[in-house]
Amino acid sequence: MLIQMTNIAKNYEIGEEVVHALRGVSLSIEKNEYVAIMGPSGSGKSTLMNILGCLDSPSEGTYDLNGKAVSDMTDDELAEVRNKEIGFVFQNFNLLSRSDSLHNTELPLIYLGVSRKKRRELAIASMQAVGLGERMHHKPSELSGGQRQRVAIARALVNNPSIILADEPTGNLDSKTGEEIMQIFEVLHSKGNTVILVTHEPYIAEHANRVIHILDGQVDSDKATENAIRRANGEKVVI
Amino acid sequence: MNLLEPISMGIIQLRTNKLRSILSLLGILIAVGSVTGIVSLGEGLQSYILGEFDKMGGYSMIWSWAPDSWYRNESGNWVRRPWEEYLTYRDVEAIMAETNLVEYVIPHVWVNMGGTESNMQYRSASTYGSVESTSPYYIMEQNWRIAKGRFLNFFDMANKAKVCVLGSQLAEDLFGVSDPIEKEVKMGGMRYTVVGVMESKQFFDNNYNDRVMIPVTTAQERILGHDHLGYITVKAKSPEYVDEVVDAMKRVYRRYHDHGDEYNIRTGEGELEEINRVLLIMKAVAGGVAGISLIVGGIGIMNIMLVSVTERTREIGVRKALGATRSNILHQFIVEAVVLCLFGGMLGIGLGLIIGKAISIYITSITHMTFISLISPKLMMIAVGFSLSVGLIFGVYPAWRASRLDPVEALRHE
Repeated sequence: MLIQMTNIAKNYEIGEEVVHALRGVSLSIEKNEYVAIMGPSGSGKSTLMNILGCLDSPSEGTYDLNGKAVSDMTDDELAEVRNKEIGFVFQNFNLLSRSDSLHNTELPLIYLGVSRKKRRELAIASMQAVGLGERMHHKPSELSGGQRQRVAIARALVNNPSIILADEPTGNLDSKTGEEIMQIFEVLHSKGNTVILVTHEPYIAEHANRVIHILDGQVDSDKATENAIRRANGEKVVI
Repeated sequence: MNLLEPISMGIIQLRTNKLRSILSLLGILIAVGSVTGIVSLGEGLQSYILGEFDKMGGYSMIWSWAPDSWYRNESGNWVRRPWEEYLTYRDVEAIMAETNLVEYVIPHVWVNMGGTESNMQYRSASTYGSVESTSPYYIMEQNWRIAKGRFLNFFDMANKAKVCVLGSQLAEDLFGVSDPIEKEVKMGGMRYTVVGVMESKQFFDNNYNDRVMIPVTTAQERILGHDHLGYITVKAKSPEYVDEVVDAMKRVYRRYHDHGDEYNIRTGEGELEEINRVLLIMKAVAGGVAGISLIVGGIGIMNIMLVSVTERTREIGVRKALGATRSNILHQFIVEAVVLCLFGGMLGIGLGLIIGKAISIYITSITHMTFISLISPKLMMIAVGFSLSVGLIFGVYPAWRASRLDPVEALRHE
């Protein structure tokens, strides 16, 4: 099991009041799954994503990632887990605006301690994988939204992480570009990557094989999509 | 992550923020520049003074005079001595006879020629000269050269001759462009034949050019009517003989005077310590004042780094999401501050060199002292070390703030 969450709760104290963002979420995700996490705003899906991505620690419950008890880790250990196990793709791309695409892509490798030469090779390979081989030295401002998100995906891939965690990856893109980006996730999934999407768009969630609905800090439903059934039947799915 | 990584990242960061980087390193640049400039001037001054001191044979010099009539007793009050003793030419001869380690002994007597506005006249021209009654060795002691005619000689001494040698200003005041040699000037009611004129010389605020030199014997016998000497200057043949010469002088004083032990003896070595102490204080004060500007520069750096941390909160969040640990972030921001300060410091050394050069050229042009600012490798190391520590000290707090940011909060930051 790649991800095993048991009774995860997250409470925030805002002044006197305690906000229960997550109230006992349990879920497991296996390697090479393609999962969408859905829910209205305020449902706790962002908190869940932060905990899944090891950006935040749960208040209660246990979270095992790749057999390691993430919920007990210190900040620096979490940083290492994020570095090695998780590739983030954000809605607003979150690229370093003053650095070129190549430097943005190799950033995780810097913190992994990869040598300059090896880093460059891996970053170039990663950029070519998302079809950006020609845009190595462009800064984010010189790229279109779709291209920026490709850089972000290349960056997420470069460490060969266990999970690609995408938070509304098409939220800032027009629908055509959004589709192109979803195709990339499709390809990554078909190559054996584990992809977790966080979205509130049903048609984006439809790309996944499994949709987990979060409501009021709890898992409301967790089921396979129609696409998953069709894929299981050996049909080629084009959305 | 090795050490070079944050440095190259820091440089990239600073390069992408050129204007801000330049503005913030300006403070450090000016601070290091002024410290370096001032200290290099101080060092130049010191080396110049020591050079002059050496040229005058300062290290071999001994100055000596009779016990002062007034002295400070144990309770700190000024008291007049019940007795009076004087140095005379007999002491000079006795010292010469006592040791052969002495190159020369120069007697000096204070003479008042009268007059407050003027004490020298030539026809209708008049001026004020400061009278030095001394011996032929005087120009050697003063490292001063004759421009015209000759200096006092031993015939003048023996004959108590009414001759004088003029400083360049006096010659100009009294004679204008005409030749003063063999002319007679009037001082204190007596006429003196001008036998020579000195070259112009200035050493700090010691103006040589308004001095007039007459034989010490002339002053004693023709003006004062006694054989007292004001003070004597003794030059040892070499600096290492100074102690022995001082001992010989003490022996002479004890032999010829009742209170021989109380005669004053100062050596060049002692004077040098005094000069060095004054210079050190001067350098420390100037350096300290300039050092305050380093702190100001450092606060500027801290301010910029704090702004930078706030502005780059999102970037910090992204870096943390991608696996940067607290110490990675801490290092990154400290290194940025240090690189900034080091760069500013190095440019500052350059600026300091220019400031030092410019001021020394200016000083040379107004005083005719051949004076050059000096910057030693040690001084450069200190300047670099200072800017490094400013970067470290003032970079730590902003960097610590950056490293403590919560990744979730930071990523949400607009």
